Amino acid sequence: MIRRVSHTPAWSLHVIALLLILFLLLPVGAIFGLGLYYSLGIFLVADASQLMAALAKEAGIAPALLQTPLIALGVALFASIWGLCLSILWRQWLARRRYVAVLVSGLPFLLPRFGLGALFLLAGLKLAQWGGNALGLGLVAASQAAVAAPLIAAILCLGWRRVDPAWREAALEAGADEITIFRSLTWPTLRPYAVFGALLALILSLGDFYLGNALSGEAALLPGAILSGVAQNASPLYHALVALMVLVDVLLLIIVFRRLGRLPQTWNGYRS
Amino acid sequence: MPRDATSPQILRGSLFGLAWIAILTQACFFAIPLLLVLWLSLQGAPDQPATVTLMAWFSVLGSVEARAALLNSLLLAALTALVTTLLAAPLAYLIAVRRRFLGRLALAFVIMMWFFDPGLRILGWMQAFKDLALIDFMPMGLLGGFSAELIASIHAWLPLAVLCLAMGFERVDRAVLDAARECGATAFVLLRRMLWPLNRRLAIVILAIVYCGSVGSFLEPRLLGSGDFEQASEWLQRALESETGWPYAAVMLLLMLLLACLPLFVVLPAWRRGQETRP
Repeated sequence: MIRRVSHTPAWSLHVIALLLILFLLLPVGAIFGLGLYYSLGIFLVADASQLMAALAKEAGIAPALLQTPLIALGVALFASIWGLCLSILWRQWLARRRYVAVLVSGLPFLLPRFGLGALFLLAGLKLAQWGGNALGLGLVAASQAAVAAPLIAAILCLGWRRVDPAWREAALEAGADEITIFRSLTWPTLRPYAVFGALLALILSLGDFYLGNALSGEAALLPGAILSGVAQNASPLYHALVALMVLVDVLLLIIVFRRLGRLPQTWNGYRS
Repeated sequence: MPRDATSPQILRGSLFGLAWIAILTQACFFAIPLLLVLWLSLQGAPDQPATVTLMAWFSVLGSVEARAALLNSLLLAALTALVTTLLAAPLAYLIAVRRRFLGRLALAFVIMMWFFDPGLRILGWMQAFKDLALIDFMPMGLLGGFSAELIASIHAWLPLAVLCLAMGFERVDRAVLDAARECGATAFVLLRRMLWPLNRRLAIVILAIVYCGSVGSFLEPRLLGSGDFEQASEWLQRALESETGWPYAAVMLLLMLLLACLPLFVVLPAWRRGQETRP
């Protein structure tokens, strides 16, 4: 006889999950609503010349709009290579249960972002005392890549689990060298994971406030420009930018969703 | 499963050399600023001759205000870690057990929320609190202060806790869950009696990870906080902005990072020992 073990309704957990999703959406919805309101106002009231004049008045917006995506693309590429190299070692360490080594090399991703920004900023200020200048967009990109690399390494470790060592043995017996084996056998399996990791690094860089704000020096990046513009209520353009950023996030959400769907197809019949 | 997926030697030679270069680059990239900040913390005031002194350390540790700010940050981080880990379970269940369209959508959504721009997030909370107070859904007192900071901090770290917990839930044997469901167990019972007990150790690791990340939030106290509850990050920022305050800022930063990492280094070896003793 089947005994009913619970009197809690089956849907209760799903209702709680739905409430949590609403909680996560609440501030995004509030700021997006305000951004849409301002965007609509601009669209209804201003013509193109007025819009361009307002854009020219806010000197920080145009360079930030150009620089932020470029930095994000650079970070995605750099962090992917860095993460791929890290994942080779992580794979070994995880197999040997050297979790502390993995933790130490993954710390940049886990540490408070404000703390990391302050660390690089103070070091940069100390260097400036000695006559050097480390602050700038290069340091922003390098630090964001260093933060994203452990994340990409962790994602690639999932990919490494799909790589069958028998392939390598067979290829070695057939006379292939390590580079050829990696390029022809390992990389096709790892590629979807690497692309997914690069996408996450891009999103991380686009939305990074702390490192960009602390280390960019004189240069302007979008998260910092938007925050100061909206907080000071400098121009309705900043609110419109908020709406634009949320729309970009929605687009990225769709891409992430599609990429997630592609990951299991690369299992090649192997599943852990 | 691959025949030998845990075999450590898939790659050798030049690619393995690249891996060591990557890890050394990473170590240098963080060790050099850390050493510079440590050096800065051992300096006296900038107008005095450059000598190694522990004055800044004694000064910060002796300051009631600095200690209170540090404790406030640790308290808020501990509360955030506790609440997020508990709250994360239902969403993690949805992602791990409902793996098809709904689970994947929830997973993508949680990932996006994790990386959402913190500046926009806090501006969003400011607006949301105002809107909710306008319709009398929330008291006006919540607009600034500890509770507002806690809510925003939970919101920022909930996605990470959900993702980590979902990874743990995914490792539980589906056949066992299906068998329990056949016997009439609801989702709530599965979570409470099977998934949660099997992932207790992971939950402790998640607590440590979330605590580590949430120590020293900056935008929350700046935009949502009030003067009554100063955090270490605000204290640090004030010291950084003063011309003679850099050594004190360096000390506060090192203390903050050390106290943030401490639970991770306590919990993880214990977790490893637990895994090794598991049959």
